[in-house]
Amino acid sequence: MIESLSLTKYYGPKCVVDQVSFQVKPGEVLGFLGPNGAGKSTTMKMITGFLNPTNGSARIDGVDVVKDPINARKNLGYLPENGPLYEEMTVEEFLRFVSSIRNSTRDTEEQLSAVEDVIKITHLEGVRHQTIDTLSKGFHQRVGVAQAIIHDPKYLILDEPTDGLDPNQKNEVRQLIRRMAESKAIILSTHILEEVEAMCNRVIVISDGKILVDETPESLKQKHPHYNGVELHLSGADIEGIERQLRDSFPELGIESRDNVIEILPASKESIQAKIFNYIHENSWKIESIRPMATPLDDVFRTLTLDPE
Amino acid sequence: MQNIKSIFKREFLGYFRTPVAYVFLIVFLIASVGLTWFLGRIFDSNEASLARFFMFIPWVFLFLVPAVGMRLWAEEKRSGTWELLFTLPISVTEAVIGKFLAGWLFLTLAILSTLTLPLTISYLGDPDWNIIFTGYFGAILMAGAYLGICSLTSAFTRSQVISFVISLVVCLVMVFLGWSVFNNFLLSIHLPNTVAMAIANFSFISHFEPMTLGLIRIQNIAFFAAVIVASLSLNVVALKR
Repeated sequence: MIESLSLTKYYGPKCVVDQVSFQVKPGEVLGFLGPNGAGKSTTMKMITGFLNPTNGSARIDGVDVVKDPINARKNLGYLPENGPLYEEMTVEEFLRFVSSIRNSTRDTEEQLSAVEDVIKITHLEGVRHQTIDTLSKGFHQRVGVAQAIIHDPKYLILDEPTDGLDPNQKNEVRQLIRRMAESKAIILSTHILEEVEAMCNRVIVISDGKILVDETPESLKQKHPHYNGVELHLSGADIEGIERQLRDSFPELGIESRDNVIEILPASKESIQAKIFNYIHENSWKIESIRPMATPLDDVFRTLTLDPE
Repeated sequence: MQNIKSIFKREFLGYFRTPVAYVFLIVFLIASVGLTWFLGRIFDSNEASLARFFMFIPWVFLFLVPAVGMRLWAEEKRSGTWELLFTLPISVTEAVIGKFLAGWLFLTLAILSTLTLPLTISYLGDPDWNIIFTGYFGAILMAGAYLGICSLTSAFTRSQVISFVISLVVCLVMVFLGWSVFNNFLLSIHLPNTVAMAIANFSFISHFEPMTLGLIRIQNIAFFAAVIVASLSLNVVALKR
């Protein structure tokens, strides 16, 4: 288990992380969301033991990261922001170096086979003899992920793992993370919200160093004003008449029309799609389509982090 | 121990992954041997000894050891790789020692590459190899002390240039304290002899010179060892975050 216990960090008088507490168990993929400068990276750096917290503590597998950093880090893989790597080394040299430290309790042969395994998993075969500074951003990032998982750690912390990757590469990294998620506890930070939906089963939104939300992506979506809303697309039909009739039949729903679309919002987030659909059917209205309204997490994120409350 | 070895190996081979090592070795050879020939006029002296070679060593080190040491930590900080390094299961002490030893071995190789000079002299004359040996021993030891200081100053900044300049200034002070011209100046302003001596005692030159004369004394070795240990200990503290 990764535990963050009231982690707090001050840079001078400025509080960057303010009493952040949470726990991550194996099987959980925690998405760390927040605007730039919210304190995501600082929190992660404190959990890895790279930065000392001003207050509070962090434990990995029950081991305090400040008091016993070496043992705490043994079960941890970490991809720092922007994936800093020793640029002048080749991919293979670099991974062998990391393996020799990460897998120092194993013999040389096992260390080398760990390198081979990870090269296969992250598809680096083609560039293994290239120096890292000649790699494209996508390969660069994959080397960063490779060094983080070279010892098959129980805990993974990835700071913006898909940053700068193209859609195909992003998809690959996401699949990799999902595959690893079953047995590991993973924390990843991102500001791409679709990524949270694709990979995480838990999400923490952090802003100005404080946790605003700690829940599942689904319940985060429920915070959207359009959650479970329905859109009717009509063309040529008597929109005003239909709208009036709907209002009369369902006074509790929020109903508005614009152009050729009628938006219907539930009174209290309940599902109304079937009800509306049946009603349309009974009245034999000619509509083009009926679809759930989009509830992009982006909107929720904006509301949460821009709201003065 | 295993971790120190891994760090050491990566760092040492790192010198040869870029042109830095080759440029350094060539400049070091040209500077040390060139000064001995053209400024020291070793050939005209008609002596089968390396005194005129060792005389210039502290001054050559002054520029070249900071060039080797400046990247040790400044480069890690600039590129962010120290975040990678210090989230590996190693201690700061292991990293500091591993890197220092790599730089020291590199400097040792550079120093040993000048062995062609004594070989030439022994072909032409009959030098005392014991003195040559103690001189080289002293030079390697002194290089370690220089490098310790450079490693420390390198940990304070993310800029290699600043690291180089600060290293140079600190090492310059360490050399100057024992330079005869400076010591004569101290005496000329009527400082008591004991004070002048005490100041001179903190200099690299004061502890290196006896070794170039064939003297291996505990206090000289202890001085260089103390400088190395002290600067590396401070180095560990300086890297705390």
